[in-house]
Amino acid sequence: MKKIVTEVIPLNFWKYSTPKTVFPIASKVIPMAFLFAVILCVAGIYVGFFVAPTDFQQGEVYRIIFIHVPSAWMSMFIYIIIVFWSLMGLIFNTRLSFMMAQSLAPTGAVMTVIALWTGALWGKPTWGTWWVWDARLTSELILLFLYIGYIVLGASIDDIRRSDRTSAILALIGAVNIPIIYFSVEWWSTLHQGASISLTAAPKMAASMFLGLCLMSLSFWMYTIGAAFYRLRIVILKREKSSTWLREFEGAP
Amino acid sequence: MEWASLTEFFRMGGYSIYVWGSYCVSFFLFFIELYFMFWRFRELSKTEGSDKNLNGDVIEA
Amino acid sequence: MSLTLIVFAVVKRDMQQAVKRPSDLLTVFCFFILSSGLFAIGIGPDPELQKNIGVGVIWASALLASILALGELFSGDERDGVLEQMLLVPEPLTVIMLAKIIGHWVVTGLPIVLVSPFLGIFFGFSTNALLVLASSLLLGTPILSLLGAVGAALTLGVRGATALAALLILPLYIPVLVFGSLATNAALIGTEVSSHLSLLVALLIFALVLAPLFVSASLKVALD
Repeated sequence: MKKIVTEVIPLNFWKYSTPKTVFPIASKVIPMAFLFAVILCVAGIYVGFFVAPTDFQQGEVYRIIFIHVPSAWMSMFIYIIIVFWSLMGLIFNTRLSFMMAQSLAPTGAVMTVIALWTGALWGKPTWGTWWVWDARLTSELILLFLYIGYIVLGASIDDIRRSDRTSAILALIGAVNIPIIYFSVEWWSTLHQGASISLTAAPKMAASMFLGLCLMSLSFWMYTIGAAFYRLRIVILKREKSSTWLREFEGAP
Repeated sequence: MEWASLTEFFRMGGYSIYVWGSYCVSFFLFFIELYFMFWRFRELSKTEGSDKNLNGDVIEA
Repeated sequence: MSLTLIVFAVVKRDMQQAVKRPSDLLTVFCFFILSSGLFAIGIGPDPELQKNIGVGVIWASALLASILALGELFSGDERDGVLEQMLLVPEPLTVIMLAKIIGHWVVTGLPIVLVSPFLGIFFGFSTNALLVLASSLLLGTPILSLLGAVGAALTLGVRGATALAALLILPLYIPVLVFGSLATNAALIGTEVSSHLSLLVALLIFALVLAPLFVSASLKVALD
């Protein structure tokens, strides 16, 4: 009996790393994730627009923060997860890891575009300019190009094995660059125009503002999970269209 | 409640273009992403001899 | 064969090939000068403006020229099967790739470094600034070659390889561009230069260690 138990546990672990087992799990996770995303988003917008008070310095325009900061966070966070999955794929040679990484990239690019767009709309009334070539903005723009490069490189190599590995290597190289562009804030400070909102500046405001930020961030997180798993299903479908398990799954209710 | 009236809410203290521009474009981008994903999934899950996709939805011809 | 001998052999071979076909080399060199010149002509004859914008122009031209030079870095060797032989030999691939990158820099990067002071004169730089410009390019162009080699290895044999490599690598060039032009600009306005140059040295060491690894990994995947 004991022997069986010790053998079953590792088998279960690897069971979840094949497209066949993940596909139905993803199908269950997707509606839940999107549902939570909508609920959290509604709650976040309610807190952000109806509970959080007007900023005494910036007026109402600061309410962009509830979409700007979560999208900027997610844009970086998604890249880190892509690096993680790429590393997993290169080390353990698992197809699914590369699929996960690829499923995340377009959402990461969308988050980056949103962060840049809302940043520009926030910068115009507060800094008086849409765009500054300062470290933060430039690093975010580089991140967008990293996402685009990652997607384009993966798409332009027909051989799946090579496409997976090559784009994973690119993701790792981009990760090398991230700390460099991140720490350049200090070296580039001469070009930096005025600081944006600081959460510690007005403690009373911070509570409701912070709540709104947390709710919106969780909502974006849930959206990312839903979108990534949805795209994972697309990737699996595309690659394993001929395999029999998909047919069987289709036949099931 | 922060806002005296609905007009006040939409005015956003004179920053309506910036605030609503941010929110509308962001949600529009999410919408576009989702739309393309759903469309791609429907296309891919169409199989020969079957009028149902993997969700069990009937696909119109 | 000792590793130093390998490096010398590969560098020598690449230089011989470059001498045999000087047009590739000349194209990159002329592109660098022409592109800087075009900016100067486009800006107009105001000497103060030219001086202010010269650093950025020369550095950006160096970046673009180094991208232009990537086309033949691995594709020639891939066509005649030398690259596969390099993967098969017992000597470490990273060292061979480092040697290839060094050879590539000698024929494309070094001419840019050597001609840059003359371009600086056209833009009205002081003697000190000319020296800093050349030394920052001396430290910066090897980084460009190292990063560029990674881009060339990733896109080896892919359709539209050069344009794709440019998309992948130009964003990664930005830190080099920043510190290189900061150093030269500091020399122009007479402030301290060494901190920017030491950051370039740090980037160079970083790239020297990591780039050959990434190049070897990508080539192994590409020729798998």
